[in-house]
Amino acid sequence: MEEKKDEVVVEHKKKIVVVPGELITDERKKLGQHVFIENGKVYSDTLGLSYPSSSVAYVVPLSGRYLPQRDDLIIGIVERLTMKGAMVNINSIYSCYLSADSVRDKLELGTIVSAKVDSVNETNEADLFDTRVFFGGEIISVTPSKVPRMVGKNGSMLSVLKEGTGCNLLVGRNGWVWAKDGDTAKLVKALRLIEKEAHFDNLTVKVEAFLKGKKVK
Amino acid sequence: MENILWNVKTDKVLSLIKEGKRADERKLDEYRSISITKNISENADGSAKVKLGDTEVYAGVKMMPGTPYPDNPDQGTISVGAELMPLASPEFEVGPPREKAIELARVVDRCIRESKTVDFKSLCVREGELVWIVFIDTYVSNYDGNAFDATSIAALAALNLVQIPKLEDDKIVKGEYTGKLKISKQPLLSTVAKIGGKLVSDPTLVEEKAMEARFSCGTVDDTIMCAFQKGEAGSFTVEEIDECIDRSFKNSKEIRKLV
Repeated sequence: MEEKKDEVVVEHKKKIVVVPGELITDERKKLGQHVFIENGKVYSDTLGLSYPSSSVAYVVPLSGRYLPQRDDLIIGIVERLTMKGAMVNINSIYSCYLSADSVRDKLELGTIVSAKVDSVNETNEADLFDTRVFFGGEIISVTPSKVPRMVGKNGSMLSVLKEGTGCNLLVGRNGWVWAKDGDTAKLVKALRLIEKEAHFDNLTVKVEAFLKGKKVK
Repeated sequence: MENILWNVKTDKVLSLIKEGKRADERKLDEYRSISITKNISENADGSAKVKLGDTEVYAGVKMMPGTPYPDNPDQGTISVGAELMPLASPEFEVGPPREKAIELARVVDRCIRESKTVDFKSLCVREGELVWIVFIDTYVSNYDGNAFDATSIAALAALNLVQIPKLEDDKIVKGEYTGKLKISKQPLLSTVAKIGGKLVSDPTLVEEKAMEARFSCGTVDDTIMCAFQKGEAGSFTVEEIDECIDRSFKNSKEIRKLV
């Protein structure tokens, strides 16, 4: 699970749609996400896209819940207060515990925080570190599996979005986008466009044209 | 369980509505897009699926022979059931229906029953012994607010398609029908929510979280009302109720063309 999927190489490779149980490869390869091994062969465990020419055997799911991975930058919302901290909803299957000592600001119900995932156990519960508290702004939900395209190569898409909408922006890997100031209505439209066309190439050019008000084919 | 994200989003909804705008850029009295798929079930006598934005409702109508109520020996009856499926929302759970599902079924039932769209006397087979009972079962399979209107549209669309099964020795002959059930009127519910002091038609899930009060009005045609329901803790002024009713007539008129 340590192997992070390579967001950069993905774009220009041949990709095929796989269903759960479909053979990904019978060669020896590094294992990525959403695959399992049976009798020495690698199979997909989800409906998604696989990249046969990649040196890593992995599947990018078309949809589904976010599963935390180490070093992911995520956005969470405080959903319950406990004695010495708070439970944070991170749009995953489990909430995370956040100690009140780890942040300077007071945690309240509905407080928006960003954090990095420190470690993940076998049941996909995550520990957080590097927590920051956000004031104001709003949360936009997107499909977690489409988040890499919203960041782009070296953050290229992110800078296009920031420039085009004037928003302060933080894209969480868990499918929540925090945005403040600027034209958030336009940002939502741009994010929906990325979600819809995430499997096409040259998306940054398209989104740039969209944000400048040109017609997108 | 309640999703904390909805509560975070209500602030945005409130601030937008105070400016007279909505998060999905609709007008305050505008509905989401409605799509109706008819005859989705082979076994039901009439069925329909309705999508109101992201809210999705299935309705099926089954006619069953049964004994009449003692006080109305020459009348058949209808029965509306509503189920909020757990897959529709994290708030809904399996088990006996809760307050929300019971209210939904009762309000939709009231709208159809009080409009007198189904002539109960025509459902009588033998007085005092055998009548038709029309079961209208609805299932909310995805919940994004305003289940009242979606369920009422689905129930009416399904009712319009109902065929009366053939009876032989007081039992139904499967697959054979004697004709269509006569539906004389087209009753529809239209819901208005009061959010931040403003009236908003067809509230979404997040708007429902932000609303103070809700008012549903059932209309039979362009002039006659047949049912009301007011929900939540907030209040309406007399002028606001008038405005709600006007909107119900206007919106239901549009929807009636689709059903």
